[in-house]
Amino acid sequence: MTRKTGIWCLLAVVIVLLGMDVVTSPPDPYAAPDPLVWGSSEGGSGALCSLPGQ
Amino acid sequence: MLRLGLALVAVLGLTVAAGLRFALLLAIGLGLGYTLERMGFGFAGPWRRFIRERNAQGLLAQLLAIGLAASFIQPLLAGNEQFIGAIAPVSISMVLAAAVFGFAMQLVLGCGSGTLVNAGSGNLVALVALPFFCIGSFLGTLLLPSALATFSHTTVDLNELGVGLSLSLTWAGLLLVGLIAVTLSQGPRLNRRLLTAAAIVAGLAVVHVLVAGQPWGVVYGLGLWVAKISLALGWDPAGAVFWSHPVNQATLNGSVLTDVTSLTSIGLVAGAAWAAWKSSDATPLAPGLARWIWLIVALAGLVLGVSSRLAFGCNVGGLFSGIASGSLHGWAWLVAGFVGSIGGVWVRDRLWARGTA
Repeated sequence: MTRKTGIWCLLAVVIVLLGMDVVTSPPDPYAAPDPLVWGSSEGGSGALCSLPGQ
Repeated sequence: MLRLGLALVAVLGLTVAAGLRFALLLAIGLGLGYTLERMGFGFAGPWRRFIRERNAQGLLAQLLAIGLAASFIQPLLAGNEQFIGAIAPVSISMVLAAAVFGFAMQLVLGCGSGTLVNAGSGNLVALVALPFFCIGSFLGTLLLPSALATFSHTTVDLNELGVGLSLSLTWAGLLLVGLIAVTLSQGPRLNRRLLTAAAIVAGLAVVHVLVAGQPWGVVYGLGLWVAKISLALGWDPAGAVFWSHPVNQATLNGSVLTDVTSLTSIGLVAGAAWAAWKSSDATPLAPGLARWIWLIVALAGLVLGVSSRLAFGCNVGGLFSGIASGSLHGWAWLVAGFVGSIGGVWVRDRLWARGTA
């Protein structure tokens, strides 16, 4: 087996997990934010690694 | 051509399904993954080469990337209230966690971005480490409130000094680290390919801020994926302080396709797979490693996840984006992570010498 097998397996897992997520919590295209936060009145989501979460 | 077509279909499909912002974030992730894999830009590997061979080329490229990104990100943060920086507190637990992360990332030769990119290129060590990294990141979210309650945490945001001084201090720090690296290095110090990659990575990091309103990160998404799977299996997030935070509640209940760090991380994996596709046929999947090495790889993956959460980010969200945002925790991460890496390189060399068939 080569690394291509590993790539196929990983992509398959990612696609299955994404599919399950889309079924359980589908995104709403009608609630889509502006393409860029820059120039928009909206801010970043704040869901980032440095968030202490308290 | 087929791979480019698939990437375009994914980006266009996400535009229709979720919106252009999220499609742009996936595209940024694809670009980062492709660049890191194709041009050999990384964090764990260059630190290893500097520690073992006094080769500073990769380390200097990292410093350039951070400096270029900071030159745009800090003025953006200063001039726009809607932008959020990677600003996090410094504490004993944060510093220890960064050192542990630096140690563990040398065992699997993959940091936050590196593990995703290596897994995307079909590297079996990273493929084994990645799920444990994700689980560890989730466990880290459950442990973080205890760490915050046990140790005193102090947030130092250099931007409060004014953008000019903040940026000057950032560049002075980067130049000092670069000077130390150059003094200790042997052989050629500059590598055109790595410097080009540094400029591309910095450019994509800046675009990430313009699109998402916050800097590039990795670990948040990994923990979120396991949290969502746990939720589907019956876990109650109400008892978890971290997941009760309004921001985290919103991402937990929302789609992964609208989560910033998830999209760039998926893009990293796919971009690396894209770059490695042709050469992946010529490389065997399983390196000749003893079984016990795989246990260490799994454990190191778990440790990477927990420690990166407690350190408020991995090499990307903590080190790269932290310093680029003007957060002192990024500098603490750099020093602690490098010290941990020295130990990690030493241990890996001995373990792998015994466990390689």
